[in-house]
Amino acid sequence: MMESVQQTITRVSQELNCSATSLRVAEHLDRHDELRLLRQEFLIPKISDLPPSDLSLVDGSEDCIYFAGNSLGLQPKNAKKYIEEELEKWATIGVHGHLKGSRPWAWAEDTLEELMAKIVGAKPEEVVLMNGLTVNLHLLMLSFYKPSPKRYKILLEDKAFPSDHYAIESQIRLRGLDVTDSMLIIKPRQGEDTIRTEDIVSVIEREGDAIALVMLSGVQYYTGQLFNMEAITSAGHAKGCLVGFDCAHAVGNAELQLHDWNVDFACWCSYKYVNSGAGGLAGAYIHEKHAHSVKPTLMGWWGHNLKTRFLMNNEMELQPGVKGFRLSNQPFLLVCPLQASLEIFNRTSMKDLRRKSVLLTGYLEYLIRHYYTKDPSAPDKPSVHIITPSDPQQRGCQLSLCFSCPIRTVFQELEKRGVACDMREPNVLRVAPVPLYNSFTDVHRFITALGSALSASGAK
Amino acid sequence: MMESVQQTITRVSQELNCSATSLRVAEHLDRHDELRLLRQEFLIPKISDLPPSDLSLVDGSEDCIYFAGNSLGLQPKNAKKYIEEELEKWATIGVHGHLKGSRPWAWAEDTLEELMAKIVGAKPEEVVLMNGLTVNLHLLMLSFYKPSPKRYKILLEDKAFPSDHYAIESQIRLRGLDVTDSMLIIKPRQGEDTIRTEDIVSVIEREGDAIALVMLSGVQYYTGQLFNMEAITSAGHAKGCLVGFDCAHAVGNAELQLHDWNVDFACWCSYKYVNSGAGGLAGAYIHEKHAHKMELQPGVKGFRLSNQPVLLVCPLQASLEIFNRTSMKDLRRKSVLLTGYLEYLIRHYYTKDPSAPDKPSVHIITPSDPQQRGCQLSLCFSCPIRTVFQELEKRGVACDMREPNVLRVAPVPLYNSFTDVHRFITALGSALSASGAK
Repeated sequence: MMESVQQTITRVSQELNCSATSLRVAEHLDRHDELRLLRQEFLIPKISDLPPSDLSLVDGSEDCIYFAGNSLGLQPKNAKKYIEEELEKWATIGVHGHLKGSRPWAWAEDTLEELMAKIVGAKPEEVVLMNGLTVNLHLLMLSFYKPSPKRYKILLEDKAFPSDHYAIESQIRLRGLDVTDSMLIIKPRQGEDTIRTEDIVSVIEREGDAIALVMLSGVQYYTGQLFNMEAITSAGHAKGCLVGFDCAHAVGNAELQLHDWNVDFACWCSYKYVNSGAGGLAGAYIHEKHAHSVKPTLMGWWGHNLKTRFLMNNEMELQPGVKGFRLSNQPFLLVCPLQASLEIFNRTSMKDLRRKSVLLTGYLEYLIRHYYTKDPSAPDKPSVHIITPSDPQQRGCQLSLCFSCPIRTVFQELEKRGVACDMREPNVLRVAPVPLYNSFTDVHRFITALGSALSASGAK
Repeated sequence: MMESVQQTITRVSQELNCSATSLRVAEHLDRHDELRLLRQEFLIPKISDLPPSDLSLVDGSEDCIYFAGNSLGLQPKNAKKYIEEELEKWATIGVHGHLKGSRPWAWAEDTLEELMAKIVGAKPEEVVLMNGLTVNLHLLMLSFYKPSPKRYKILLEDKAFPSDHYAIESQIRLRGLDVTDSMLIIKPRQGEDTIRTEDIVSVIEREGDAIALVMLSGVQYYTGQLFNMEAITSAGHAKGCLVGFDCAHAVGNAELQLHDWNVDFACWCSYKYVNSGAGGLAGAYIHEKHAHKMELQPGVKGFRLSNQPVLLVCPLQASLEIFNRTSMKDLRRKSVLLTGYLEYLIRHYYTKDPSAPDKPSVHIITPSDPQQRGCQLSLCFSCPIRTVFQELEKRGVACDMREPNVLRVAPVPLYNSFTDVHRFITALGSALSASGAK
């Protein structure tokens, strides 16, 4: 980025001869957003559609302000069309659908793997689409977590997403090891919200001989911190550890280069930034260097070489790498919305999406700081401490906002005004303006709604 | 069944004063089929829709003869409607869909568990809908296969479905055990096609002290044999083994009483006889007696890992609602007659005739005892099957071929008719002629 976000906003407001907080700045940024047309590829709820909306407060015919894509991404328009194509196929040709049509069910998900691989910075043969995230995490850990008496610990972050935490616990117990001793949990420093890369690296350097696996998230769900996956992987490898990441909040959000960074394995869900619908098809990645050395612990017939898979002679011809980790045929109903979404990603690049995202989230941050930086001379005025790092390289699109007042009523007032975002009581809002379908005007409207919500909740 | 299938066919043909092989018998049986209206709940391909159909040979406007429900069940009509409801919900309320609407996504699959449990003869708390079959099989075996130095073998059937075979192999290797030593594979007797229950029971009695797990299919995919799950479970328990079944071909086909039979665990897919679409949501069952040995939620509910996709819940819901309009008992009653009728006609036309050795004949691999089979018949032909199969497909038949000699045909009670069976026999005759076999 040649110009910082601050500089951009200042320049634009000067060109327009208006305040930096004016809606006109947002509208200008939207006009110059090369990706703005991608919004039209999605179905955006109207304010009047959302259950908590109060139409006495807002115009229900406007698009809602959807900043919940970090929780559930919006529906690509083509999802329905593709689903209908497959339902029609099922209705008209039945069992022949496995081999016929534009998405033969027997390998429907395979065709998406190339598109998915681009998004995570991997080769197609390193990526597989299957199951749900936690299932994939378990399948990968069954193969990558091979503790020995000396090297048996798993390094993970404090307040990891619950499913990851439980999965890691159960993998440790499966090996008959002690959970407390084997889970090495790294926290932020006292008084800090996020974990410094240098601290992660130094834990690995100090304890690495006892660490079998480094298993962090790519983007931390609560704080929005984007970990330095390249540095962490490097540090882990220097001490002989294997390194994997749960990329649930990173995929389609941060620019990932899993292959080049030498990440050993990763997994993700696709219903957040990859917009495939609740419970959508999950992903898994294994670096090609492991293709012939790391075998799936649990096997099923879908890991068998496609050419001979249906001979059914019960002699496994395992596909190399992550492809051999497949167990079952994946549902075409889940392939369809994922295809619709990946086609949209394919009209741009993660690089371009990130460029917009840095500006979009930076703009949100600018406005939040403008209005809600703590003011010592007005101690009763609500303020916001942004938990998420301010360095764009250390975050995705999400900002976690910690309010000086309890958040519940503020959140309810925001919802009445057509805002969809996430609340973590007692004080935190998570807001994720997403480059694919959010606009700078969305951000400006959010700030306006936030002001009203704070007033209405009595916080102001 | 008060009356055998043979007796039924004889009686009807006498009442109608026609041959037992007449179409009129089939039509009569259809008229008296209490479940015939359920066919209308499904989308049945027309002959002209199926890719291999040859419209110079058949009327393309007729319904195809779909005997491939053992491979992929037909689409319930409401599947599309329910899917559209959820797509509309996603489009209009986004993330709120987890908690709102008629199928809140956060627990959408839970509401179907009661309907599913009825079909497998279990309590709702013993059943969970999640993942795919092989994933569930692995999750269950990770908990139920706990080998010790003395008791470490897994008993399974010969020519088990490949995924099961690979899954069991890998579970054994995971424990650091030897696959050849730990897999105890039971075969049919020499010259027989199916495995006698007494032989399964006697293997268990003989080797049971070394068997950790008895893991058979409920219905064998290749032969169509329905195993005596109750007797096998009982025999297994008498020797201290745990007993589980892969019910992929049994669910929605055979009458299952998993709870009453004391089966320890089971798993199944839902895209065959339960018609939920390719890759549909799978099932898992754990007997409630094991409920509190597990952490988290008691029993099988604690085995859940992730939120399940509402797009898969929808077609499954549509299908389970149809099952709920009848019962497995009534479906089985029709199925026994339907498959019995098919068997009758096959035997009539294709029993080996020593005086005409070149005439094609069919040996039915599947047991003739209805208690030992579901709706599928595996037909072993005296001639190579590939061309016959192609000729059948040209005539609007959907079924399954296992080279070199076997056809698997599955007339399904929910949507197949006696007329379908009769039409199949007619098509088979033409196909055999056309393939040069006759």
